[in-house]
Parts: sequence; structure tokens; C-alpha cells
Amino acid sequence: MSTNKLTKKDITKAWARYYAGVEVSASYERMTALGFSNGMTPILNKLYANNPEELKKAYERHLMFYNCEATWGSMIFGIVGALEEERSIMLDQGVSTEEIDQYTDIISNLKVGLMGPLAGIGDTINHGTIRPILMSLFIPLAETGFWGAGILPFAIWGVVISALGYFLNVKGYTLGKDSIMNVLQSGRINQMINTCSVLGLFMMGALSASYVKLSTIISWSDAVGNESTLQAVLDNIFPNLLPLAAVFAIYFYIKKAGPKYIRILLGIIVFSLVFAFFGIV
Amino acid sequence: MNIVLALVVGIIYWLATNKIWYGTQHIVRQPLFLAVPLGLIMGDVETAMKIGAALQLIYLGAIAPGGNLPADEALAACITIPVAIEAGIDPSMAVTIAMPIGLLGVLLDNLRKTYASVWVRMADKAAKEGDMKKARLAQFWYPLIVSIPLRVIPTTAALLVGTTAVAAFLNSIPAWAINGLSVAGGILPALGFAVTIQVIGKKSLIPYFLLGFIIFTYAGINIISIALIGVCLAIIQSKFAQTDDLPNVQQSEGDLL
Repeated sequence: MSTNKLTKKDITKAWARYYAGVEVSASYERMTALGFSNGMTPILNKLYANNPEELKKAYERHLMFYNCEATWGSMIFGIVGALEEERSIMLDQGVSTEEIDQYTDIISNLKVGLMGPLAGIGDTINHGTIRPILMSLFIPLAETGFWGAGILPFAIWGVVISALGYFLNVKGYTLGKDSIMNVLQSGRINQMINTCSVLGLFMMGALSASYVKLSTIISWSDAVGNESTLQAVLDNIFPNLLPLAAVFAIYFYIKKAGPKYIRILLGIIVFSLVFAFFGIV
Repeated sequence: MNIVLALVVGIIYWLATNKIWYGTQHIVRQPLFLAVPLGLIMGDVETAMKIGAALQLIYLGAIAPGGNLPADEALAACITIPVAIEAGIDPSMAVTIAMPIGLLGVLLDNLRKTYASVWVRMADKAAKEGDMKKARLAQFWYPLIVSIPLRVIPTTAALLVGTTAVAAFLNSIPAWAINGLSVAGGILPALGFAVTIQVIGKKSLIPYFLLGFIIFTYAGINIISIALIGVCLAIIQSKFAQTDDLPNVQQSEGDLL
């Protein structure tokens, strides 16, 4: 437990490489997996330097689907770095293959388990709260024509958010080194993921209600000429019924048909155009 | 507009959307920030800032849940600000030009993430061979370089055909199509949320999503108070989960994806 193969510099340099290009290669197929593995490469190179077979397997392990808000996801990056370090030490010590395989599963599961909740938290706090507040503070200043209103939010956001990412990465690594083994052995990791999941899902729900917009403009007149709208009827049932239906329609489609994002995307655009053409939305 | 100027704006748009350094990638694409370089090259920073402020207001809450863009505020700014300065259009009018451009810009980003499957193939292959120098090309350099024509050409072309042509083109799009695109812009975030729920992957926890949705719908309270409620719920859940979920780590992780 106490041995270190990675220095603090290794951790920070790898993180910077991840943070600098995490979304450059984003794809619908694997989302930001390529960015994550790009950052992980120098760490893996160092850890598995004397074991080419394990190195290849590690490369492939971190090319699996991955998607997270990258600042909060820095924490996952740190944890994974620490876990890979432990894994390579276990290999060096000649721990049984079975035990190593089990540990490898934990690394992958942990990544997948944490990325959703942390994305939920990051999207909500950084992009849903801090950024709109920051930008709206400078709009009045920009209306006077002052150029600083464009540069100041850039400087403030850039420094604060990058520092947060750096901090979360270091925190994640320490957490991974110091306590994750205890947490893993006691079974509390599930609980930790569960707790994060609850918060993530709850925030996603609130954000969906605020960002997804869909309403119908169907209306009719009754015998005495009173105008009624379908939307008003729906609002009586539940005000955000259509946006909620949209989220779950897509959710169940993905569940059934797999992550066919491009098809869903085109579907949304075609649906919107057709319904707009017939005056429904 | 002359070609050099149009090209420079195209490059500014690329710089704003090339996603280098996550800590700044969301801020360099904001109209308020883009107004500074665009104002400088158009020689009128003051007007640029005023238009930037008007644009910023409509894109204030445009977040990209799960990385899926609902509207491209950067393209909207890069076309609208130079065009409005050149034609002397006032900020509030400029906003109406911006809306459809912002929606069309989403298509560019979707295109980028679609052809990115090519990089995935290349990285997979390189990893199999254990050649991560080659993989890095696919993970970083190729997508970066290929995004240059993707971003620069449409922007430069739009600015070259000129203010009037862009306005005429946008006017020639029927009202239902503009409306349809803006409806699509309203639904697109749903994809991001659906993906995230999918990734969190615990069906038994979906009621928490509904709870967040319902509380926001009826209470409409600010997102910080909602976050506090969420933290309380998470703590309560973790207390109850202690008795249910303890025994086997591996087993209960089975339905994650």
C-alpha cells in the first residue's frame, strides 16, 4: 500500500494531458473515452513498463465508453490512476491472476459507476449554476461597451475551474491511494456510488425540467367560441408533461435499441420539423 | 466582407470550438468573450460588446448536458457580430439573425462527433498494437486538424456571400422550418439527460430523477436550494442502503450499462 511508483509530477502531467484534450476527440460512439485514455497513457507506460502484454490490455481497458463532465471527472481520473498503480504493484508482487482479474473489474466498474453521478453534479454546479451567474454579472458592463466584460469572466472562470479540476484530480488520487482499498473491502464503494447516483439523478431531474422545452400549440374553439388549448389541458395534469415524456421516450429507446445517438438526433430533428410543419408544436 | 477578414473570423470560430483545455473551452465560446476579438478585427469593440451582451442574454442558460449542444452560441456570435457591425444592425435585431444560425451550428458539432468514429477505430487498432504514439494522433491531433476545415469553411463562406445574402437565405427558410429547428433545440438537451440517466444506470433510483423534475416544475426554486434537497436525499438514501446493499460488491454492479 505504501509504495509509490508514480510521483506527484506524473499525476499532474497526465491530468494536464487529459484536461487539455478531453473533448477534442469526442464521438457519439465512445464519447470522451479517447480523451481519457490519452491522459492515462503516460501513467500506464510508467506502471507497466516491464510488462508489454499488461500494458496493451491497460490501453484497451481505458478506451471503453466514457463520458463525464471533465472537471469533476478529474476526480475519477485521479482515482483510476491510483488504482492502476496498486494493480501494477499487485502484479509485481505476484498476486494470483484471479485476484488481479477481480481487481481489474473493480477499476472498470468504478469508472462506469462514478461517471454518471459526477457528470450530473458537474453539469449542474459548473455549467448550470456558476457559469450563468458569472456571465450575467458581466452583461450590464458589456452593455456599456467595455471590453473587460468579455475578458474578466474568461480569466475568472479559466483560473477557478482549472484549479478545481487540478484539486479534484489530486484529491481523487489520494482517495484512491489511502482509502479506496478499505472502502472496496468493506463494500462501502457501492454505497458511495449509490449516494452519488441519487444526487446525480435528482439534479438531472431538476435540470431536465428547466432545460428541456416542448409544448403543443394545438387549439380549438367550442360551440360558443371559447378558445381552448391542448397545452392548458396538459398543464392541468402536469405542467412539464411533454418534456418529461421526451426524456423518457429517448431513455427507453436507448435502453431498447442501444446507444444509437445519431439516429436519435436525426429523429429529434425530423420529428420537430414534421410537427412544426403541421402546426402541432 | 473581404476574404482576409472572413478567414480570420473563421479561424476565431475554430479557436472558440476546438475544445483545447477543458477549463476554458466553455468560456471562449461565449458571445460575451468572442465580442472582444471580433470587435477588434471589425474595428468597433464597443458595438461588438453591446451585441455580445444581447446575444449572451439568450444563450445564458445554454448548457450541454452530457456534452450534447442545444445551440451553438459561438457560431451565432461569429456570424452575427461582424455582420451586424458591417450592416449597422442594432443589437436587438441582431438577436433574431443569431437564433437560426445557432441552431444550424449544432449540425456542425453533430457532424464532428459522428465522423469521430474514425478516430475510435484508429485508436483501438493502435492500442492493440501497443503503439500509443500512433493512438495519440487519433486521440488528439487528427481530430484537431480535421476540425479546422469543418469550422473555418462554413463560417468564411457565410461571411463572404455577405450580409444581405445570409439575411436573404435565412428569410427564405419558411417559418415552420425555423420553428421546427427551435423546437429541436428545445428537445435536444433531453438526449443528454437520457444518456446520463442511462449511464447512472440504476433503475431503482429513477424515482429520484422524477422527484427532482417534479420539485423544479412546481417550486421553480433556484438550483442551489434544489441541490441542497438533493444532498439531503442522498444522505438519507445512503443510510437506508447500508442494510440492503452491503454484501456483494461485484454482483450489484451488474446492471450498470
